[in-house]
Amino acid sequence: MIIFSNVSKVYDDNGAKALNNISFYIERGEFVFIVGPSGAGKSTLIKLLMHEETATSGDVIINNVNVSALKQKDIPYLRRNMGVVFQDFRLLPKKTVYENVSFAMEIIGASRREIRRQVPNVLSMVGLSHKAKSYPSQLSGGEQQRVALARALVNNPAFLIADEPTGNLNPKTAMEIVELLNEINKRGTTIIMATHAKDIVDHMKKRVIAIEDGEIARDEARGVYGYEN
Amino acid sequence: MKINSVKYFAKEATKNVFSNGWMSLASVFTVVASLLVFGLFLILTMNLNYMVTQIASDYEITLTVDENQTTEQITELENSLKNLPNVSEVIFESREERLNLLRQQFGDNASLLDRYQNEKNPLRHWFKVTCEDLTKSDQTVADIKSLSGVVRVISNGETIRKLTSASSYISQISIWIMVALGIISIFIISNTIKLAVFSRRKEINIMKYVGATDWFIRWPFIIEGIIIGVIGAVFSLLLIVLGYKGLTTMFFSLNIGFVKFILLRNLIPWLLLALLGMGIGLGAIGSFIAVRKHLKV
Repeated sequence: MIIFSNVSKVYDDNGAKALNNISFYIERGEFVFIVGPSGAGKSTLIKLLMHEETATSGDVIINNVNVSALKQKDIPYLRRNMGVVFQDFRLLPKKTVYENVSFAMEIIGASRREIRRQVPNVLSMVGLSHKAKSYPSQLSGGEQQRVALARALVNNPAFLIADEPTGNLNPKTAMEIVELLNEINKRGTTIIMATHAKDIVDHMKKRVIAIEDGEIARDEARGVYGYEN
Repeated sequence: MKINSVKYFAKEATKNVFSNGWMSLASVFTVVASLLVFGLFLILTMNLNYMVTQIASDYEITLTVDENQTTEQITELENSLKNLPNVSEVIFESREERLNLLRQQFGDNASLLDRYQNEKNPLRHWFKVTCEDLTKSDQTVADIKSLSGVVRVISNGETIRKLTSASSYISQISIWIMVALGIISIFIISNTIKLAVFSRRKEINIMKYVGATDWFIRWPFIIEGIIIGVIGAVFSLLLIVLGYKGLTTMFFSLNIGFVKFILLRNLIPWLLLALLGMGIGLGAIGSFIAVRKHLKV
């Protein structure tokens, strides 16, 4: 499903080696936490997955496609297979909850009928049907992240990449979001989540890949966070 | 392109023109300003060419006939003139006709010419010859001079040639000025639209993450640019038409005979075509350049 094979990443501007020859494999339907100290290479790994950056050496294979050699014009189609959620939600303030979600379908050229069918579905899945007409500024942080999740899921992606999705939320809301991710995972979506939240990782008992100094320090099937917060 | 997407582009573009009201207004002003200057040069060039063609079409070679020639000899001369290469028309005016013309021109003072009646008429017969090709008029003048019975040949070919070459020179300069103007306008418009794009970079960024293609992101901005370009073109067209109308009326009232302007109704289709084309082009290219930087995510 996702294969990293001897991947290294060196940033041109400062020559720093962000990732050093890492290899791992993520199966379809897995739930994986990426943990590690700040600056260890988590963000770089996420950026490689989203194809925001390309590997300096090695291969990144997503859905049987080696994305290291992907043409610029094919990147959008790669991204349609993945949903993305960020720490800062990244919602459009001038659009309603409904529009923020339907926007993702308009972009891929979905028909109005498909949009009218799918958006309420996904909003009810994240528990926000009653807020469809609200604007992001009228929502709590947890609700905003749910909208972002709905937007990420509305096109039925094969996997979801969550970059510190609970970083801006209080512990209780954070746990709710992760429970929601777990629900989504049970429906078959692969979840890759980079996080600093010890209690969440320890509570979920999912696979944990720990990155330190650009290398894989641990890869455990039912792992724990392993760092002091 | 999917029909759903086309609807989306049109909706987004029109929405953006109005939601970025001040920015759009600034862009429209830029378009109007550059199209005004562009239109002025266009009109100048077109009118200059028009005037030169007018003057050139009036060009004729006049030759006076020796008074000792008999009627037969004159008819013979007329035939030889008509057979010369590059001659399109030969008109004969007898000395009597010329005197009458002169009389008409004198008007109330025609009686001054009374003493030049009949045998005392000092004028000679003459022919007016029109050329098919002005550039070969020198050869025609030489041909005419070699004919017998010709006293004097008057031709203003040199003046017209100078005028023609000056006008083509000015046309060329105008074209380069228009090209330079176009490039400068694209630069200014793209900078204005860049501000609009910058205020929406977050949206563009999200679109990229959700899997929008570059063209999908570009189109609304390009349509936005085209809308601005068209509005600018319409305004500048109105201004130019009004200005031209005023200017030509002023010149007509000054009654300067040799300055002839292209009629406004003949000019409007060309202006419409050129200004709309420029407006659309400027808007589209300006937007294209403006979005480019923000697509690299």
